[in-house]
Parts: sequence; structure tokens; C-alpha cells
Amino acid sequence: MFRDVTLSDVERLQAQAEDAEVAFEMDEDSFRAFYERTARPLWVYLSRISGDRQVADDLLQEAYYRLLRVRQSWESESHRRAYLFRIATNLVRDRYRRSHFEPVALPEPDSASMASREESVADAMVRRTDLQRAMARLKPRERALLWLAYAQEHPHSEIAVTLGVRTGSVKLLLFRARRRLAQILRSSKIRTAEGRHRAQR
Amino acid sequence: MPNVECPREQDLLDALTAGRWPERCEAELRAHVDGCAICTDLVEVVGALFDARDVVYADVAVPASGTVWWRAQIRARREASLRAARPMTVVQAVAACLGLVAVIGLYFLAAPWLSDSFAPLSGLMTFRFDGLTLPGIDAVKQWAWPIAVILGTWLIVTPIAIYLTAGKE
Repeated sequence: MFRDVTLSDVERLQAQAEDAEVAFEMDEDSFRAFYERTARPLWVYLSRISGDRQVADDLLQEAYYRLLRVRQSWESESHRRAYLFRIATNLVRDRYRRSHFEPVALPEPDSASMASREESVADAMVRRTDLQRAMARLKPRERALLWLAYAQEHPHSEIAVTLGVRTGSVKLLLFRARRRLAQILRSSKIRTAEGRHRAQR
Repeated sequence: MPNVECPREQDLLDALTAGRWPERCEAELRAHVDGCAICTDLVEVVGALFDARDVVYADVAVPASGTVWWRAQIRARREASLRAARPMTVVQAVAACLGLVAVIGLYFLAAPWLSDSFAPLSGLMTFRFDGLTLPGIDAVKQWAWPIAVILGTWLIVTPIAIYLTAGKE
């Protein structure tokens, strides 16, 4: 009736589990197609809300893995994408809570050296630096909201799923985040113009 | 509550998205934006975000889809393997605990016999058992049955548990 279970049996069981084809809800072809459509926007989103490219690299794989492990059928491509972005948002939030990292403030642009360069290149660089610094001053959720709504042009219903808020609240939250970012950008522009004026004198 | 929405917001957003702002859009919309705080903020923020997006997208390097799929497969298999081994670990831990209980029980059962058998070495034995204040022979008899039941259960249940676990997996 009983059979002996030896250490080799345990090893055999583990080997069987390792060799078995892992069944995800998505097959490989569907995954590849979905990945091609979403990986770049997701990476950019992760790097924007975390403020760190290395973090984006790490969390990209993790986000797709968690999505693959979810036993759920998706209503639509948009629903699946919203869920993926929600996973990514939570991963960044968890990392933020664990390590208490803050987005690193970029160094102030050197006005004198900027003036010596070509004007258009300098202006573009200053604009980007201003935006990065301004985004770093926003709350993580505000950064996510603005990036999803305007840079990635996600509909409000999808943003609501991604950030775990009511669809009706997105408009108000977006309004506040936009006003805050615009104020920071405007004050930053004034400072940059003043710095340039001093450098010219 | 402040007004969070402007009726021209969507028109402006469409113009910004299509690259028509500011040169190729209606003068009326430009005039509206000049006098509307919501639309002014929108131009400021969306312009900066579009610019940043274009730069960032040009610099994105993500792993190939096949690599991500393969890594996910490997990780899922490893986790399945750990899950498969978990019941075995639990059974082994339970067996070890029961074994420990049995050894302690046997020790107390055998203590009087050990005392008698090693009476000639009373000096050493006294030193050893006095310190432990062993229970009397009546107390040992009182615990003999429960200990025997635990020992017997362990000997029967452990192989069955291992058999069932291995069978399921």
C-alpha cells in the first residue's frame, strides 16, 4: 500500500514541475504582440514616474510577469493595458515605500555656458530640464496622471483603472496637477530668464 | 469649487495633438486661450510633455519580447518547483517535531529503568538525575499511554502524509 519516498523522489517531483510547460492566460504570440504595442510606453511611464531609468528597466520585466500570472480574461485590449499600467504604478509605489527614495533633483543649468551654445539647442535643453525639475516636485500620482493623460493620451476611464481612482475624479485631479505643474514651469521660466539676463550683462 | 473645465479644452487639445497650435489654428481659439487660465495651463503643460515624450521615446531601449517571455517562463517554473516542494518541507518539519516529542517521551519512560540499571554507578547517576528531579514511577505510568499514542500516530501518519503528498504532486 505504501511506497517509500526518497530524496530522489522529491528531486524528481521538482524536476517535473520545472519541465512542465507553464500555462499563462496569454499564449506566446498574443504576448509578443501585446508587448510590442505596450513595452515602450510602459518603460517611459515607469521612468517618468520613478525618475530613474534603472528602476524602469527592473520594473518592466516584473510588471509583465505579474500580468502573465493573472488568471483573468480581459474585456478589451484597453482593459488589459490599463491593468498593466496599474501593476506598474503599484510596483513603483511599493518601491517608493520600501526605499523612501525621492526623485533626484537635477543640477541647476549654468546660465553662462548655456548662453554660449546655439540658442535653439539651449532653449530645448532648458525646457526639458525645467520640466524634469518641475515633475520631480509633483506628487507621484500627479506625475502619473499628467503623463498618462497628455504624453500617452490614455482616456480618463483607463487612467482611473491605472491609478485606482473613480473615473469622475480624474478630471478634477488632472486639473489640479496641471495647474500646479504650469505654475512651477512658469516660475522656473522666470528664474531662467533672469539668470540669462544676468549672464548677458 | 473652482471651474475645472473649459468648453474649448478639447478643441485646444486636438490642435496641440495634431501640431496645429499655434500657427495653424483659428485666431478665435488663440484669442480664447489668451484670456482663459485653464487653456493657458493646458498649452504650457501639454507643450512641455509632448516635447519630453518625443525626446524620451527616441531613447527607449526595451528588451525583446522573446526575452521577457522566456524569463517569465523560467521564473514561473521555478516558483512551481518551490510550490511542489513546499508540502514535503511541511511534512518533514511535522515529522521532525513529532520525532522530538517521541524522543523526549522515551527518555522519561526509560528514566526509572536507567536509574535501576546504573545503580552501581550511583554516584554519577545521582549527580545526573537528582538535578533533573525526575517524576516518580507513578507519574511515568500516567504519561506512558499518551506518549505511546503519539509515537504510534507519528509512525503511522507520517508515511501516509508523505505518500499522499507525493501522489498529489
